Amino acid sequence: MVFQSILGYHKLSEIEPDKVRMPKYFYDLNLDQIVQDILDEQKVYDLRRFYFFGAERENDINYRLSVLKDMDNETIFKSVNNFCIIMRKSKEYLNNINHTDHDIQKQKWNLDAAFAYINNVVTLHKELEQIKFISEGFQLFHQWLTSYINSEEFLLLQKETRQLINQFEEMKFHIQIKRDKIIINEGYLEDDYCKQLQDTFREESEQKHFYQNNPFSSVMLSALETAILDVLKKNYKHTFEALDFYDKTHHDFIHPILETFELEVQFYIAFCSYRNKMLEMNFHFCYPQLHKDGYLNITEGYDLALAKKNALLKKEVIFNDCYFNPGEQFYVITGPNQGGKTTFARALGQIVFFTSLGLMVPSRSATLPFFDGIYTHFAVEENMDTGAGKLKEELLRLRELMGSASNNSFIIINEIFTSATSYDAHIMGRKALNYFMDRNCFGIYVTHIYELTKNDERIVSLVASLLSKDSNIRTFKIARRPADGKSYANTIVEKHHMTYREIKERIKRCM
Amino acid sequence: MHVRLLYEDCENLPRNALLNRSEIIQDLNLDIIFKFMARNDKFIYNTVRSVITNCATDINTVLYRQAILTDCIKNYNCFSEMYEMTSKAFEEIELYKESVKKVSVLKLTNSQNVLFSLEILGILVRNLEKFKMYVDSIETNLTSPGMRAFYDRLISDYNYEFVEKIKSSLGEMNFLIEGGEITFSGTIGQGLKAKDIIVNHLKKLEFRRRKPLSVASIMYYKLFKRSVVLLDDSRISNDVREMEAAGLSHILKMYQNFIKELTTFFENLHYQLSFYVGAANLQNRLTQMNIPTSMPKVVKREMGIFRFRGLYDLSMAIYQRHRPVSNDLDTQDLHLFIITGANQGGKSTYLRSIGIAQILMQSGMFVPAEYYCNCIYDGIFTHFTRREDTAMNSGKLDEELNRISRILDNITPNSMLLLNESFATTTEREGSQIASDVVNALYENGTNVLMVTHLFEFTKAMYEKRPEKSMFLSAERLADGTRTFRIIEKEPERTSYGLDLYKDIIGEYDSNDIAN
Repeated sequence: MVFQSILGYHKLSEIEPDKVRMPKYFYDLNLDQIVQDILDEQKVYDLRRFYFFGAERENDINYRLSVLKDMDNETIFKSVNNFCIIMRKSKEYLNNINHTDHDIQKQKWNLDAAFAYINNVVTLHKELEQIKFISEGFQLFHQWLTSYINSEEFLLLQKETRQLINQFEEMKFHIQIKRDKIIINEGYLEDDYCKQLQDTFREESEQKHFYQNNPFSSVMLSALETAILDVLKKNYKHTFEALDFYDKTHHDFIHPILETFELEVQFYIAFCSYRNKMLEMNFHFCYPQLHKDGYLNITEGYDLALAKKNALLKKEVIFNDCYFNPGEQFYVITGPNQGGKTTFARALGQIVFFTSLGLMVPSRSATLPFFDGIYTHFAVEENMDTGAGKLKEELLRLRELMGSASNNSFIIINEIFTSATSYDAHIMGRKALNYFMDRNCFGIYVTHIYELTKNDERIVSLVASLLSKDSNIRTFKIARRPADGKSYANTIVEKHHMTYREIKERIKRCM
Repeated sequence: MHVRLLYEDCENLPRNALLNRSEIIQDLNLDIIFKFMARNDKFIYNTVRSVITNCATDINTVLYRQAILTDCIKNYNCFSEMYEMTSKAFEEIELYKESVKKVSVLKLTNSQNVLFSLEILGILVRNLEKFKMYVDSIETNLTSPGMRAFYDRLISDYNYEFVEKIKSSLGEMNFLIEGGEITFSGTIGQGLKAKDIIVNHLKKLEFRRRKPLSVASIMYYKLFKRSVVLLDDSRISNDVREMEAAGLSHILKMYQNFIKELTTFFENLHYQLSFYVGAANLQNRLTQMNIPTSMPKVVKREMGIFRFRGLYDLSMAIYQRHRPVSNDLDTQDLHLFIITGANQGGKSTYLRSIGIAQILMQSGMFVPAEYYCNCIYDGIFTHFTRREDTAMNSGKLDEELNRISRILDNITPNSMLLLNESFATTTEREGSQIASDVVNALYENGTNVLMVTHLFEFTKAMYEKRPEKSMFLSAERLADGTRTFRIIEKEPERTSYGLDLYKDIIGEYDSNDIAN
């Protein structure tokens, strides 16, 4: 097997740029915020398509998960990330060629770009050589890299670039600025005026005091630099001839595989940076496991977007467990408002989403089947239409959803048919649920019609409650139990964690 | 150089006593005290406000400051002269800055910038010399370890040779500004750009009027001697000026570090002296009004002593311009004080007088009492219910508990908490229940709680239990209803005599009101 892509066994298929748009369900599941946060981690690259579309094949999910495990190895992450940084530097040098009219300078930028590129590739290879990879992706990549740096083409480039760079490093000059003329000579004078001053001020430092900002920061050569160059050209004639020859023979040296690798590996880098920030806030992630027989089991799942928001507000974050026994397909969630129903649905949706990308998921553990798509139907709140108008709009969207969901999709329906009578909503809900369950879809149905939880073995009833029955502690937890329509009052004291026991704990913690 | 008049081993501590800053200022009426100390000096006002609300948490710092403050009160004129000198140094700098601003509206060029910094450095060095001279003349009056160490540092760190050396290098820089010769070195970097540039040396240009170059020599340079570039091309000559300017500002950076150090020295000195001058102001003004103060006695918490005599509310004293009613207390190993009794009976004042004394003591100051002895806490917190908080609805309770909850986030067993009519935003039953949970939990953890309360169910239950390390105090009310505004040890009573007050202010109540 030959290395194709760090994102899967095959090269990613082309997507037309105007089709790279955020899927609709992103907004319902708060994924718009989460994915934007991730994309913001590596703004210099356009990673949208990697995040907007799940892995194309089921086996790519495991391929990616194991690459991610390797990226979690700090040494690998650092090496790969440094590689990308220097790749960007090298490309910046190449780009500088377009910004100057000075031919010799163009040649030098090309040489500098090549030098950065070569060192970068060699360093990456050397650093990866020490490592035993978990993933097939990195094993294949490293095999390819080994053959590349031993290729004749690369070795020749390496030899000639290094020779020439060494010659340029010898080039030094000094300038005397007098009133009406300057005198330029080769050679570097070692006297350092600032060092002497420093001694007066009793500051200790052995460093030379280079200019912190070069007055000639533009990419192009300034008139003074050109004048310096004119002097040096005479003194270092052979070096400049060699540069001219080098430029005629070496161009377009960046290998396309490495160029693609640099972009694609950002998918992992961006995710890791995002995830590490969440880990610092004490949120957990885990590697999901795909299960063939429709078995699902999540522990301590949570909504990443809400978690981040709550962490900033120092509010507690709710973790939920859930599972499907074989044969069970749909959760119907009932319970009081503000009880965490939507949050639960979002959390599970996010877990399905990140699994489909082949990334870690926001939960303590996660086993779930492979879903090839996520479809959502959330009430549109800002639409203040009349009841009939709203119901119509909802049904139109439901029809569209039924049309696009496949046999293997994950469906989230949130508070649908609220404008219909309960009787109607019950019947319509039952019909919709049956439609999806008959097509083998899994999903969540949030509703206030608790009759929907009954009379179907494929349906699991979940109930949201402000307080659990016995312990009197505010939970927001979603529990697996028959719907009863009851809710429990809470007290402000508990909200502030000011019960006797809690206060004692809190003060102790401060010691 | 380190000033270190507030702390023995640093200029400032990142972690001081924890307190609910904005609330404590309001609850203890601290602002009136700060203003009184400042005597219209805004700088002193800001300093005392910040130092007192960041009071210390260790005995050594408190003793260290007490000694310096004693020095300051004894030598008030010397301290205020030193403070004035530092103020003047900053005024002089400000004045110069203003004058520069007037002359050049535009951004300063590099060489103007150098000139500007050199002038500032000149002002600082001149003022340093003056200050040193003055301190030299009065140093025999200074006896506190803090002032002695400061003086020793002053004469060794900024010794004569050092000051002279700086003055001479300042002179050297001046010819640069008049236009000297500079030499740079560099190497060739990426894209043939110059890199690793350093300034080699500066030379004074000898003042010799030179003839313009002849045509022949210009031709010679242009055709044969490429290493000499005449500055007749405006592009090159601009570049050269830029290079020169960058060199100057580079050198300037070396000066700036020292300017920064010296400025910081003066700033710290100005700030720290202003605290002592402010404290001494307070002492002087109280003495004029015949109101007594004393240096408090600091003990370790383990000693369990909490004792005072003639303690009064300083904010009230300043307000009334005479000494208010004072209280005494003598306790051993107690850390729960429940204060009940008559409205308008001096309970809040009592609580406040303790809070103020404690916070002033921990700032290293004297206290408004004839005698005051307590330990140092690592946190001082107040929760005074304000009038707007007493509306009975769950939103208010929510807010109140939120405020207390924030205190609980920071409070430690070694803290002092002053509660004034807390938990009054709900019914008495609920309030009592919450109070009982909060107070008992704090009590068991060792926090020193002083609580003024009207929650009878709570006080009754507490009194029945009478925890070992608690004390019940009450506003004194004579049999005829007269209030003495003293706080004495007494069993809590059912009524807080609000009805008395009602009667006093409104008159006899209608029987219908009671029925309602």
